[in-house]
Amino acid sequence: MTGESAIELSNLVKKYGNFTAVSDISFDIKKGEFMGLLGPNGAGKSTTLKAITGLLIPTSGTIRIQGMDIKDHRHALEHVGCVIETPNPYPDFTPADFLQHVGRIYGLDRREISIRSRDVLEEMKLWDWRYKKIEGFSKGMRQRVVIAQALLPNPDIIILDEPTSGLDPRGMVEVREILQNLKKKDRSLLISTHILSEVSELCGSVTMIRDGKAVLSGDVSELIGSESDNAVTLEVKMMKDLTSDFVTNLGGCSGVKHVETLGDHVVRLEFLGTQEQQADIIAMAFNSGLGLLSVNEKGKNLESLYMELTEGEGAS
Amino acid sequence: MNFLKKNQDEQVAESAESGENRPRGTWEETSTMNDEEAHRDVRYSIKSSFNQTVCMFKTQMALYSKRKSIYVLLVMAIMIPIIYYYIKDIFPMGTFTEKSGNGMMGLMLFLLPLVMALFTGSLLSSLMPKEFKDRSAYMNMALPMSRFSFCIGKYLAGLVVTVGVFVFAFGMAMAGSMTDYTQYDEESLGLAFILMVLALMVFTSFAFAIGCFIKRGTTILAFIIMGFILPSIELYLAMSEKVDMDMLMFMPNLLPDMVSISLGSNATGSVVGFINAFVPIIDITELNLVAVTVISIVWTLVFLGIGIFAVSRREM
Amino acid sequence: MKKVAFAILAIMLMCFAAIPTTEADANSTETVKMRMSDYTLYYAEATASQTFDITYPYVYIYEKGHDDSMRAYIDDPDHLSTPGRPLKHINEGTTYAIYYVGHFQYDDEFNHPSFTSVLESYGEYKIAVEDGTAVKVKASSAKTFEGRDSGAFILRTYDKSLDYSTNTYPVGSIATLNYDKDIPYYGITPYDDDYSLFVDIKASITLKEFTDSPYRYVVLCTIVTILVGITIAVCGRKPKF
Repeated sequence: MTGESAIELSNLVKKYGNFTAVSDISFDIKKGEFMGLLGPNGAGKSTTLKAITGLLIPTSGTIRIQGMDIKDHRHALEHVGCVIETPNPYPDFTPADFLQHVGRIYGLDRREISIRSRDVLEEMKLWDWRYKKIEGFSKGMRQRVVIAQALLPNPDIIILDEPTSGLDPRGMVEVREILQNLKKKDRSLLISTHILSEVSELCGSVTMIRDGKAVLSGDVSELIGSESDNAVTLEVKMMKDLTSDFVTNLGGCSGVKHVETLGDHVVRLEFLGTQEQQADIIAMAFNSGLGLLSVNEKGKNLESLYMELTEGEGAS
Repeated sequence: MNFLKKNQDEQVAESAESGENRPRGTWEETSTMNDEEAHRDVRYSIKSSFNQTVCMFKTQMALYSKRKSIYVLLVMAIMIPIIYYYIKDIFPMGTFTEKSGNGMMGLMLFLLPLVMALFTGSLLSSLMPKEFKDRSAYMNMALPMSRFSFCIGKYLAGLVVTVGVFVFAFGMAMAGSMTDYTQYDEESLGLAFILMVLALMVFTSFAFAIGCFIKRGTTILAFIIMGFILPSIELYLAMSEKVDMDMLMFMPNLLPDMVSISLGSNATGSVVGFINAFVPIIDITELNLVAVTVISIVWTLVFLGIGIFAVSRREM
Repeated sequence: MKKVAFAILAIMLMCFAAIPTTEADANSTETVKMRMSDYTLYYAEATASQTFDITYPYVYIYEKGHDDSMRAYIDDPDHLSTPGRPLKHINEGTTYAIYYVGHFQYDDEFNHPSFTSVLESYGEYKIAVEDGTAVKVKASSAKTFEGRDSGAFILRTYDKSLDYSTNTYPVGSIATLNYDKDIPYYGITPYDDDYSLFVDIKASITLKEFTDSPYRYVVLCTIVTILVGITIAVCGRKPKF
């Protein structure tokens, strides 16, 4: 193994007959980096992850994991734990049986399997279910089992395809906490998800894919930009009906670029100004006598970036 | 089902609460050990391909241990001498069967060709389709294990289980014949045993290969090909004298017929066997056992090779 | 891992342990040649006292010194040849080699021939099966006097009163003759729906003796089954965490 790259993807192309699923995608995940893979349904995210984990053979391009070509499947994935395409563990198995199987493949001996299994089962809150058959588990619990198997071999790199799919809100939070803890251990993560807050929370970098092409790639903070460069949206909600004077006065405040009324009680302002100017707007609304209920600020964030890039794709 | 899931999630939550008080990773022998001593936070290394093949073998054997069909087959094998006891007087042996212990065994194993095609189809045809249908293949194929080890491990488990069941049936037939006979020809027994093992190797590899090509596991296809289509073609070729009958001895599906014939029962319960009682097709008086063994091993390797090739090129 | 590997190896070795016991014992198979006919073939040399044509079918006449094919047929140990075509036109004063079966109808046309038998009738090949044995009969060829393939042989199963029942077996199929205290012997006779005079059958007769006990294989089957069962049980054990 050489270099600091955890996963290196160069000019990945995957074609199915005349259809190009992935066209010339390249990115480089450094050791210790967490990257999110975003895109609408059918963009090519799963295809990319499958190519990385050897589930399919790319038409062209190179994939290296810790410096090793994925063609040497066994050694390239030796320190990789992954969950791809919502796999199901064997329904006749218990979590204990399942983790024993995975542990053996990764080269853990019996004692190491016992210890690591206990660790991951407790992390995933499945310890008391270790001897119950998986066929009786809910979708969320199965998802926990497959995440547990990805974490079992103490991998350097974790690749997850919608890991919190099927989990209840508490489960989602727990999984994110576990992944956050991995940051401290200098692990690398590649996660494909529709939940943008997950990417915002966990990932330092993101690659957005659309129609098989990488349309955006880089650090999350760089892509979103600083507040001073971007306008924010303020939604001002009043208790009483809006008056035309109030709306006019708001529009005349410093920093307000555009005013729009949403119904009888809410005004949306596009604001590009300083915090003091923003405070003045809030004070003006408070003193208007119409009863200020709330002021919501929505900055340019990952969601708005995603929505811009996927405009016209339909529901995602 | 929703009620069940809700209870499971509640119980998981309770487990989480109780787990908070349990020291992480506590295990009887490691409670006093640090991470290093417990081999917890280390980089594990995969072992050899052979080792992984054995791991996959063990996993498949564990899966078989949880399948009820194995026990059904064993019960059916136990029924052989019982059924024979009640119906033996219905079938006069005449000049079709030797009046000896092995002749009786040959009569009891009358349905061996069809049963072998059916059971190998049931146990092995579904091995690969079940992996894809249950989606466990998405997990297994993404492990650091070659598809070759994956396939061979599963196949060997199927072969061992099948050999165990049929050897048990062979023993049951022997036990049944020992109620009436004490005289045997050991040469016949030995030849029949060897031919049965060779037949099992060929039938299992064929069923496995069929399973590697189909998406939905079905017993029927392998059963129909080995039990009816191939024998019908061979019958036509033999009766129309387009092929030298000696060459037919090397056809894989005739091996179970040769088991009964070598035991001393000329009529077997297969398409070819029924005709063989009246028109000579299968002749083992000048059987070259070494040639049959070599050809059977070649058939086994060819079918296995085709199946493994299909799986290795399969895109997920 | 090692235990499982050894278990598999043990299973496979046991399965193939039977190979040394399966070498064919050539001594137990005998190849016999049977020539069967209800008739005796007679021979004489005689000189024709008149010129005439032969019409009776069972007289085979050759010019003296030109009956090699018939001699070969009589003496042929492999019963592979067939007699040459006999003469049908006889000339007065010529000396001929005469062969006939059944009845010679030309006493007046030849000068007092004296006939000797050269091929005795042999109607049946008897096989007696002893207790604890079985005999397998397989005809590899059945040729008639004229050289046709008769295609089958007949197996007679006799009872104590020497009445018999028959089964017809095509050439190549195997007839199994079992011991039965009520069956003194079996007989093999030719099959020919054209009633040929002689039929040559070449057959292999294999004697199978059932003097062995099956316990070696009982033990083998038991051990293999137990090993497989143990392998399944070991692999299916619940892991202890």
